[in-house]
Amino acid sequence: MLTALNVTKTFDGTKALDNVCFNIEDGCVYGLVGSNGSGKSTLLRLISGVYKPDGGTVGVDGVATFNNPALKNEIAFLGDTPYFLPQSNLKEMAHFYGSMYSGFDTDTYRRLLTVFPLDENARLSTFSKGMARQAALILMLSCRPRYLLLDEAFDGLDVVMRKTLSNIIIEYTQKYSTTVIIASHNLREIEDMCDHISLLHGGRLITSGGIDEVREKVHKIQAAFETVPSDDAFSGLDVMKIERSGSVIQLVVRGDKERITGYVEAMSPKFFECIDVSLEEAFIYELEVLGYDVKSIEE
Amino acid sequence: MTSRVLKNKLNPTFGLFKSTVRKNLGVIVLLAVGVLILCPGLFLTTLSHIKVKPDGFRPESPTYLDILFGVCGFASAVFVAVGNFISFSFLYKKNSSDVFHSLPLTRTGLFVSRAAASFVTVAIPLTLGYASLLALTAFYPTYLLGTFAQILSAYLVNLLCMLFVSGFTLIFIVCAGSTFDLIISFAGFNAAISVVGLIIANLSSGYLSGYSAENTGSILKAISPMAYCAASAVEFALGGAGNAYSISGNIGFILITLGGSAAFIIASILLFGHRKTERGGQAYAYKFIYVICSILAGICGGYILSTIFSLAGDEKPVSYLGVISFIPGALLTVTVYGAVTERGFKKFKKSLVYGAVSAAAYFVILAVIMSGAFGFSTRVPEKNDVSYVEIICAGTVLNLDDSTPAIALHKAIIDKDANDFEESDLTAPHNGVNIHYQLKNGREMFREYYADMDKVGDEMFAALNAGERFDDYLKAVEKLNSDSVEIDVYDYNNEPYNCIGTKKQLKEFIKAYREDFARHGKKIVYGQDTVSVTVYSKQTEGDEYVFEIAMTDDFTETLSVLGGFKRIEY
Repeated sequence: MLTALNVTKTFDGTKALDNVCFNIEDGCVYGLVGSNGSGKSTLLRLISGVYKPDGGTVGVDGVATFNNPALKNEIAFLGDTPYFLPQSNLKEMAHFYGSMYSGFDTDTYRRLLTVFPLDENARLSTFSKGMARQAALILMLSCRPRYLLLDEAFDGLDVVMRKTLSNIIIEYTQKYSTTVIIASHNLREIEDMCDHISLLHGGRLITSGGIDEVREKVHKIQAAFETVPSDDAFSGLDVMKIERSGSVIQLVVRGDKERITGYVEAMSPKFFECIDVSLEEAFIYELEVLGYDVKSIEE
Repeated sequence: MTSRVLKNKLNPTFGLFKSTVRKNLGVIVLLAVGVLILCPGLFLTTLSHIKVKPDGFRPESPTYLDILFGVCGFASAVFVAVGNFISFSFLYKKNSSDVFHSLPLTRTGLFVSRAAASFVTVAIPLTLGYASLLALTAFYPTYLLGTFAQILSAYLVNLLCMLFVSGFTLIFIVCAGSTFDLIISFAGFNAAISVVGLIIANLSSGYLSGYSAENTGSILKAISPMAYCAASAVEFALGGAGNAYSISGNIGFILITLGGSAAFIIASILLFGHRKTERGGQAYAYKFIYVICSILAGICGGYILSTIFSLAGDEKPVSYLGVISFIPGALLTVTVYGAVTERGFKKFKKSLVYGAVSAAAYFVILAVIMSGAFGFSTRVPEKNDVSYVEIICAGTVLNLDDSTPAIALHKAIIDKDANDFEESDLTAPHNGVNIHYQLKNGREMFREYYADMDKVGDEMFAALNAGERFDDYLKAVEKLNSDSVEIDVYDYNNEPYNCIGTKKQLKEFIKAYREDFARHGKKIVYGQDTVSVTVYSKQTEGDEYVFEIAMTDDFTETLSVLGGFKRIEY
């Protein structure tokens, strides 16, 4: 199990990560989403052992990854901008990673070359952004890591390649029990692929859990009352947002659906409905609570 | 470690080293071609011009070992530094830093593999060059290429110097956060430390009693690691007393370079181990190197402004004007340096602090110099510690095995406070006195004075009248191959008096001069109304002996013997 316990990372006095804790079960696809500068990439760098945490620990089964070659041998990290050795081609890079990672599998490399049709003898510096990412993905996947960390995995890939990558990731987790952690802004792609997800904002873990679990944490309530109740009437609920339009009240509430509906029904509304929200909506509401919404940014 | 974590069956450290060397293969081939053009290429193309001297090793012109050692020594140091810069450039970009730091290596493994690869990239061509010279020496044993021991020693020292330079550059590489700041700090430090050395030398010549220009090299060697390495390597090649390319004759240099390399590399590894990866892209990963460079730059800038103002005010740097103008100079320089590093004036206040530290450091240096530099100005060696001494005074060069008169003169100058810095406004006659002690521990000691002859005239005369001086003249004349000698005399108007005589006549001339000198007494040290005489034999080219003596018209015996020589009119 990959764990982070009270992880803190500070850059020049600014906390990039603040007391972040999570557990990632082996063999799952884990999504990290969040606002810009929320600490997603920093968290991946800490997991991969690139950074050393200022506080807390990140590692596998309680063993820290930083400066731990045996553990790093099982982790492949692809950053948001792929890097290759100067003047090298894919073949040379495969040789390079083959001399570094004991799990590097030439057969996998060959098979992936058929999936991502790239010329392994061409200079990587001549590749387009999407092709470079494909090349980097081939190399990372060929390392057959136990933990695959992808920062903006789909960035630069066309629709077909996105789908292909998505399928490969699912195949990997099933076939090799690889744990995949994807940091991305693209919620919809993550929603389709991930079992678990975490939302980061301002260096803090806002919410975390299974996709449905996270989505079902937030509910939208629309209710009409003869006598419109004050905000205090909803103090028994974890209200994230409240909007009024005449006798109609729209609430965004965090918590158990049955408890929320029971609470509102007890107030004898003329009309009442509990609407499920999408994952994207759930995250937007979560961020709005923290003051990160379009309106507050424009102001 | 849990059982679930699989050990890496590969050796990634070695793997990274191998792949880096393989990546550098093109550079290795290019450098190898360059070295092989030099050796054996240059040797084979100029074979007919090489002197064959089976009896001795060093001919007049540089040997091929000198050329190889000089060129490869310089080039290998430059290439290993550049190689390190390139090898560790991944530190300064986020994407490359991510890749290298996420590789299954320890920090030490990553550092060592990259540093070793850039070292080996330069060492392979170098080894080929020396191996070629060894092979040539075996094939052409009568040609002056150097002995096997000398070639191997030169090769080892070349590698050692490379290691030293490599270790030194690694400190800067680890401390920098960007390529620009690496270049600025590395070039800035080495330039500034040399300038600070020259500033110390300049101040010492003005305010440190006994300071000699010969000490400038020692100051530079003491404060600049690169200057130390370069100067010591040159001394290793030139060698004194048959010590050229001798490891045993340069053991101090070898040990210091080895120790220095080890210290630099260990410090680099430790710094690299604790280096925050995220500092890549920022100006510095470790600020201390920036602080050191700022302070050095401040001293240089302050001194330049101080000198300009002092010259304009017709004053010395150590004057109210000089001292006061130093402070704005230091502040200005450090602020500009800080602005370059911080890409703006964001850390203006800190720059002012560093500028103030520069000024304080300068005043400390000045105070140390003016207070005698920890006993430098009063230090006189013990007679038992001196191997021999060379004194240049009153236009005469003395080489004495018995250092007693030299030490007496040296002590008298210090005890009687006879040294003066100002040449103007002096009423008493003065003479320049240069003393060079060769100490038994292999070190040298240089002192230079502008001595008041009223105070130390007796001691000066005693040194000049040392029996050993005249005995040396006689011995040298005896060694001349030809019995016929030519003597050129120039009086104080530089008018020549050229004549020919025999070795016997020349010996009589020296004996007569010795008697006249003793009779004449200490007046000679005042150097007034003297005639400068240069005596040498040049019967056969290269067989000559030159010495200068001072005399006046009342050296009657000497002049009488000189009259017996056969005059030549040109």
